Amino acid sequence: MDRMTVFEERRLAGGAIAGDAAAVEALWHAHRRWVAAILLAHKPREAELDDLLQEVAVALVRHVSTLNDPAAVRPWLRSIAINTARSAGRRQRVVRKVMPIVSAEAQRQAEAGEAASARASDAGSTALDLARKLPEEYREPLLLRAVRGLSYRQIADVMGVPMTTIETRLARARRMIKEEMEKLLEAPGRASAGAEESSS
Amino acid sequence: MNDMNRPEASGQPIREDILIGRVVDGEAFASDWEELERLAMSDPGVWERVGRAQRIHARLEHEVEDAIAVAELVELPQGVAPVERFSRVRQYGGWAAAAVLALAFIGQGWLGQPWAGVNQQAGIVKTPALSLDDALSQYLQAGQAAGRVVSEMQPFLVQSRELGQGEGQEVWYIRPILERAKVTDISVMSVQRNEHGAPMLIPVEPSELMSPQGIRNKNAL
Repeated sequence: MDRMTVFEERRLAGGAIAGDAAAVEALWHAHRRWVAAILLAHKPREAELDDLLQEVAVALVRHVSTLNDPAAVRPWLRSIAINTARSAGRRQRVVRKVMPIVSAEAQRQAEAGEAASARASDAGSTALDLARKLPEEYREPLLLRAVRGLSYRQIADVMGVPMTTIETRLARARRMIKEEMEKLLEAPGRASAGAEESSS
Repeated sequence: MNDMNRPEASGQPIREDILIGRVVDGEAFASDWEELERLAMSDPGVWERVGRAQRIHARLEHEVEDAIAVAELVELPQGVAPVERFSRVRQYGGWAAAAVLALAFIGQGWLGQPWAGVNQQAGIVKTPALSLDDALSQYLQAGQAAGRVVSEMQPFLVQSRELGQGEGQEVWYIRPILERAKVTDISVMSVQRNEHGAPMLIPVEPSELMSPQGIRNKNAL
């Protein structure tokens, strides 16, 4: 996406809408990385990213021809990605509801695993873990910005908000992450997290 | 981390946050650098905060790139047919259908036999004929696209017999298709052997599968 001009992207989108299979493929190659970042921002922890990407790819092939405006491809792909991630979330909730019926022991183990994972996540305090705990409106632009090559303008296009909003949300997201990291540094027994941060 | 769920927790970003963000993201203009330098004259800690923000961003970028690397491996599915583009038909179709119905009513006489015209138009929608091989091929392709079909495996022969009169052979064979599914059902299947030693499928509770002892007990039956 970084090397593609707006004109090229619109041309590709126009071709894809007209039914050109090669254009659809090129469009997917150009957008799949940031689509993955959107999924990462919205998907439940347990859902596999590649499965969700496959679902978005199927939706792209099936429905791109129904678009009217080549300029709408990015927001359209974003909404597909968000819907896909939310559907996965709903499926996970159904599984969680069914699990106690299936096996109380399996549920207990799953909960213990989740708790351990949450503790490890806090202690390890990876930047991505912290970013994924941000409120949605901050999490998404931050993860999109972390996809190499995506400018403020492109993120604004994808999310359909003004560039200044993106800039403000990024600044607030970074401040929140910085504050959380400082809290982890100050917390007793969390020195390893700070050491990792300062060494990176 | 609870504070992070409250957008107001950190308040409005101050000008310094915006400037540091621009520097980190490579979107700073000369005027932004000048403004940052002016801020640093009164507070040299600004440069330390720029450095820290850059480290955090580099780390996040690295982690996100690792997490989304899988995207490069996800290609478009083969054999998935695009939805026909009927946007204009959809847009005007309702009005057109209403107009046709109205004409039908007028033609047949509104107070006479109101539905006769409609019934006479009713018919069976024919789907294009599809050969068995094409249908199977479509199933395999769609199944692969949906992640359900893994592959079609080598068929194996069950029996064959001569048809005579030069008509060749009648061959009975099994064509296995390897599929995968995420199972969240209440029971799953376990392979056991019956009294003749032949394998048979028995439903078992997943809780039994959780315990190796449970599996051993079940298989010892």
